[in-house]
Amino acid sequence: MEELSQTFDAVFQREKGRIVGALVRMLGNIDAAEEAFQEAVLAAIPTWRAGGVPANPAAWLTTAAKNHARDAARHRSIVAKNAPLLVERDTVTPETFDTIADDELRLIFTCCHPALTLDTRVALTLKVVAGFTTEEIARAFLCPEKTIAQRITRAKKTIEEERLPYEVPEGAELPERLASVLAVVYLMFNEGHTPRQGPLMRLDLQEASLRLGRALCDLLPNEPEVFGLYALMAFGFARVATRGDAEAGLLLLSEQDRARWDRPMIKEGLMALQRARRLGGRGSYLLQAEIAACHTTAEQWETTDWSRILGWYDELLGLTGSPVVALNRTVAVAMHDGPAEALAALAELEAPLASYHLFYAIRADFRRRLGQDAREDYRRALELAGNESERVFLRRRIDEAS
Amino acid sequence: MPQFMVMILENEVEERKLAPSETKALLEGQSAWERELRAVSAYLDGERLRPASEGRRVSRRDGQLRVDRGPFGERALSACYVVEAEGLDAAIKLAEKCPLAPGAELEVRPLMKGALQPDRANRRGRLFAFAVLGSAPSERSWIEVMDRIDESTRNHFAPDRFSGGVRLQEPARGRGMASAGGRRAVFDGPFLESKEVIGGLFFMRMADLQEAVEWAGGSEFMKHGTLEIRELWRS
Repeated sequence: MEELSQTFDAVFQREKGRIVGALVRMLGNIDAAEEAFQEAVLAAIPTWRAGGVPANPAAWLTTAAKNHARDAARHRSIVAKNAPLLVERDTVTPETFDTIADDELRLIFTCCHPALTLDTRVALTLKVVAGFTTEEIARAFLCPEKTIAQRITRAKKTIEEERLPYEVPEGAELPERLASVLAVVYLMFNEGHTPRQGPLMRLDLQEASLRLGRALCDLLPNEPEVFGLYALMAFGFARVATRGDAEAGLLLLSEQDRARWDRPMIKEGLMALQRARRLGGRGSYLLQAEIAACHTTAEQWETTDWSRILGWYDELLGLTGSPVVALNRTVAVAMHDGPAEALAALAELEAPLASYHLFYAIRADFRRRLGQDAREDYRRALELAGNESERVFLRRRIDEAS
Repeated sequence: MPQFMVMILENEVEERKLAPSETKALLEGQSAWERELRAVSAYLDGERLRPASEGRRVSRRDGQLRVDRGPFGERALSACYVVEAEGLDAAIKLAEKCPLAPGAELEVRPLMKGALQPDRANRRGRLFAFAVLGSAPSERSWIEVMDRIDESTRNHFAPDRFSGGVRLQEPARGRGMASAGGRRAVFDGPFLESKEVIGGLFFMRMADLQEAVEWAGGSEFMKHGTLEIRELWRS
C-alpha cells in the first residue's frame, strides 16, 4: 500500500504543472486551480487503488479536476463575480495542442515573475508547477512549514493584487522573463546538488528541476539558454552517485570514480548542448555547460582539457563579471599554470567573496599544494560552510594539515 | 532524384558501454557527416531517436490491444535520415561514411512516398516517431498493404500534430550494412533476423508518451501491424 501511494504521488507530482496550467485558464486563478487539482487527487486515490492507475493518468486527473471545478463554480457563481481574476474565464476556446502548451508555459512564467523575490519564485514554482507539498518545500529549505505557507500565500496575493499578467511574454520582454524562469530552475537544481544547509544532496529537488528543465526544452525549443541549462544540469546529475556520502564527506571531481558516472545522463547533456550550440547560443548557461562537458567527457582529472576550460571561463567572466565565476576560473588556472599563478589571481577576489566559504576552501587548496600553511583558510571555510558533507571534507583536510 | 531512407540501428547495450569521450566523438562525427550531406545537397531530413527502453510498441493480437515496453530486440532504430541520391549504390556510398557505434547496423531503403517537414524541431510539444512495423510475403502484397495504409490514414492526422512522414519500398529493394571491428559488410534485404521490418515512419507532436500510446491504440494502423513509438531527441 505504501508503495502504491508512492507511485500515485509520483504521478501527481509529474502531472500537476500541466493540469493546473489548464485549470487556471478555465477558473481564473491559481488557488481555485490548485483546489480543483487537489480534489481530483482525492478522487483518484480510492479509484486508482481499486482499479489501478489509468493508462493516461494526466487525462484522468484533468477530467476529474474540471468536473469538480464546474460543480464548485456553480456553487460559487455569486461570489465569483466579485473575485479578482488572473484571466478572463475561458471555456469556449477549443483546446488545440498549442493552447495546452501555452497553459503550462503561462503558469511557469507567472510563478517565476521577477516581481516576486527569487526564494518566493522557487517556493511557488515547486508548489504549483512541480507538485511539491508545503511540507516538502519546508524540508528542502530547512524552514518552518509555516514560513513557506505564508510565503506562498503572499506570492499568490501579489500576483492577484499587482495583476501580474498571466501570459507567455513575447518579443523584447521574453529574454528578461526567461532569465527569471531559468534562474528559478537553476537555483532549485543547485539547492538539490549542494544544499546551502544540511545534507550532501537532495535528489527530489534535482529531479524536479531536471523535469522542469526538460519540459521547458519542449515548450521553448528555440531558446539556446533553455538547452544550455538543461545540459548543465544533466552533466551535474550524471555525477550524483560519485559525489560522496554523509560519512565520507564530499568527494571532489578529481577524486570521483568516473566509471560510475551515469552515461545515458551524460548523453542527455551532450545532446542538449548540441542543440544549444546549433541555436547559436553564447549565454551563461551554455558556457557553463561547455565547461561541465569538458569535465564530464575527460577520461581523468589530469587529462582534462584545461586550456579549453580556461577559454570558456574567460568568455563567461567577460559576460557575467561574477566574482564566483572568477573564483572557479582560478581552479582551472591552478591546473593549467600551477597553484602559484592561481593564488595570485585570488588576491582581488577576497573582498567580494569574504563571506563565501568556497573562497577560503579554494585558497587553502592552493596553499596546501604550494606547501604553505593552509589551516587558517580551511578553518574559515569550515566556519562559513553549512553543507554537512562539505564540512566533513573540510575537517578531514584540517586533520591532514595538522 | 530518387530519395532514400538511411536508418541507423544501434545495439543499445553496446552503445551504453561507450565512455563519455567516445559518445562525444561519435555524436560529433555524426554531426559532421550530416553537415557533409548538406554540403552536397543530399540531405533532406533527419532525426535521432531516444532510447528504445523508453519506447512502446502497440499492436492488436486476437482483438486485444497490447502495449509492450522497450527494448524490443537486439537492435533499435536510433536515427533516420532522408537523402537524395542517383541510385541505391550512390545512397550506400553516402551512408557508409556515417560513423557507427560498435554493434550498430545501417539500412538504406528507397522511399515510396514522403511528406517531409524538416522544421519539426522548431515546433513545441514532445515529438515522437511512429514506426509502422510489419511483414509482407511478396512485393505485390507489400504494395497493397502500403496502399491500404495510405488510404486509411489520408485524413487521419490532425494538422497541428502531424510533422511529416515517409513510406518505404519493400525491404528486398534496400540494402544493409554491418560494422564489426572497423570492417564493414554490405548485405541485401530482406534483412537477416528481421521478422518485422519498418514499412514507414511518421512524426507527431504529443503531450506525452501516454497520449502517444492512446493515439496509436485508436489508430487505423492497428489493423495492419504494429506501431513502435519512440520519442525524438531535440538535437
